[in-house]
Amino acid sequence: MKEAERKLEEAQREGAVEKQEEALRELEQAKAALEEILRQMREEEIQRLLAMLEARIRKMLEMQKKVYVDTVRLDQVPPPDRTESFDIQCGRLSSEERAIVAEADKALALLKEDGTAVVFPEALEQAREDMQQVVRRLAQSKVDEITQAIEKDIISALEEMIDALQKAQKDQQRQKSPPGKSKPGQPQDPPLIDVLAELKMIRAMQMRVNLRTERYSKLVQGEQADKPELIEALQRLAEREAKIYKVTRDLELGRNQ
Amino acid sequence: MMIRSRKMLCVGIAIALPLAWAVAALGGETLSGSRSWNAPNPAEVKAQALAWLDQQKATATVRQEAEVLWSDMSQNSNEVEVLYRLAATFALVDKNVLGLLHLCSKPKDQPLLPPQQWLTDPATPVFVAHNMRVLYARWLVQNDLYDDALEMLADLKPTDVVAPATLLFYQSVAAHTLLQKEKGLQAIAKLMEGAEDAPRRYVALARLMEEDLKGLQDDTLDHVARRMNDVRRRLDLGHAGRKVRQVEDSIIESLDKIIKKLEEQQQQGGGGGGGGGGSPQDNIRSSGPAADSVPIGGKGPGQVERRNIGSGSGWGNLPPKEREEALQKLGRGFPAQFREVIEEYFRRVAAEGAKDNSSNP
Repeated sequence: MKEAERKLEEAQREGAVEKQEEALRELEQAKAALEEILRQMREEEIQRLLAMLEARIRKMLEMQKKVYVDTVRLDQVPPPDRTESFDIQCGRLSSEERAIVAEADKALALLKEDGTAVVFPEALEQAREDMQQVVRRLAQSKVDEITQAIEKDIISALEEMIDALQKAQKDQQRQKSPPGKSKPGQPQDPPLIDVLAELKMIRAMQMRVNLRTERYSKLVQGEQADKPELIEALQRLAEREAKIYKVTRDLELGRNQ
Repeated sequence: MMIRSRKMLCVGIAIALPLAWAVAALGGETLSGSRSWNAPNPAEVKAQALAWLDQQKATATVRQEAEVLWSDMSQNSNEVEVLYRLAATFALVDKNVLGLLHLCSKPKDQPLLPPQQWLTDPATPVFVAHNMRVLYARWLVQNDLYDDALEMLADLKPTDVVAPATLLFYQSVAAHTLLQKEKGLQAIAKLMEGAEDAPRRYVALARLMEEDLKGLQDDTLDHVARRMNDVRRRLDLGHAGRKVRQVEDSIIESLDKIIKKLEEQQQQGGGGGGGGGGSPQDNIRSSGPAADSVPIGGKGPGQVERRNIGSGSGWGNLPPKEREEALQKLGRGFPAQFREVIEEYFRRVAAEGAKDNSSNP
């Protein structure tokens, strides 16, 4: 009797083990399916975010180009002919530039919410600082070469951002793996913009600092600037360089991971 | 009146500085061995200083003042203290040294520095020029002017000055900040030859700088970041000339090399991903590191002979309690929005299991 009981138990256990294994297999499959859903959701989220950012920055670029053209036009007005209406037009341009700053704020909010890009928010932040400088200068009816040079810097910064976003979207399309084909070791939460694109952005920001230094160097005899306003401008540039240094360090240390 | 105020300044500096530097003690004993420098004996320096004063035909009053400057000098006085007493002695008869002491007694307060050509002028006595160059370079480093400091110290040897450890330490600091690896390591090695005689703070910092410099590699993101910090420092000082632009251009060159390398890696397929760390040369973390250590790129067919290990022993089965825990944990790792899906799945498994049991009694 006991022998029979033991045999019966063994037979049931054999069946139970198979069931357990099957259940575990199914659980694994369910886990993989859920991971796949998460990955697809993140991919879609990135695509949507990139497209939104590109549209917003494109809009900012169009607005900035218009402000630049109008600044050049106003600069052509000879100083004796600059009447009250000239100041009114400059004020209107300053308001238009302020609207670009508002757009930049919205784009920055999107980027900060995502939190995976290190350099891109800094590049946008620096462009925003330049925009604010343009707002101030236009409000003071300053439409000279300095204002125009800052506006050109903003335009090239925005163009570089659009390039980076387009590249990121293309990469996203290319890397989009077919359903159920997620590679082992593939990160669940890939960054919005890859390291290469961020490095290019760092290069672009550094290039802008270099160009400004070159511009200032023409006003300096030797190495050291002596005029207070020039020293102040160089110190502002040093602050910008400090931010580029910080994002480079963050990228190097993988702080976006 | 003016001469009197100068003398007061010299005496004041000589008295005030020992208090500030009392922390670091430097023995005057010289040690034999393979080292290239020895700490000079303060008594010998005093004798040299007074002899120099005699050569300058100093008046009896000036000589007496110099004697006062050195009167409380002990054998354990540190070398910076000795250097400042020497400077104060020179300043009794040399207005250039007096001006330099004045400049170095406070932080930099104007963008353009007063020229100090006399320090490199062959007409200046070597004993004065060499030692005052160390004193000036120390102040330059303390005010972030590392290029100027390195220029001041360029051709000086430890045996040329009364503060050899200070000379080598500030050479190391300037070279380290300007990322001049070889120059920095050479200066540190020389400083370490007399580590037991050098101020402890110099030795401790030199060791840190040595470690840091040894790990420094060209054309890495770390190197780029350090040069960016150097550009920041230069711009903050109000520099916009050739030197700062050279550093700026070198940053762009290095970034181009790193970008090119990464692009090549991406074209070769992988971009360093999966390996968990990217390329070690460029020190950039991959955007797609492996989440865990998993075998990647195996080449075998992956077929193994299946063995029947039986199930009677229950080998490989978890005890029921742990199994239940594991099953619970499986569900816990998922986000809340999938809770319903998971619960539904478990309900389905349970229902199917019950169906199977009822159909196969």
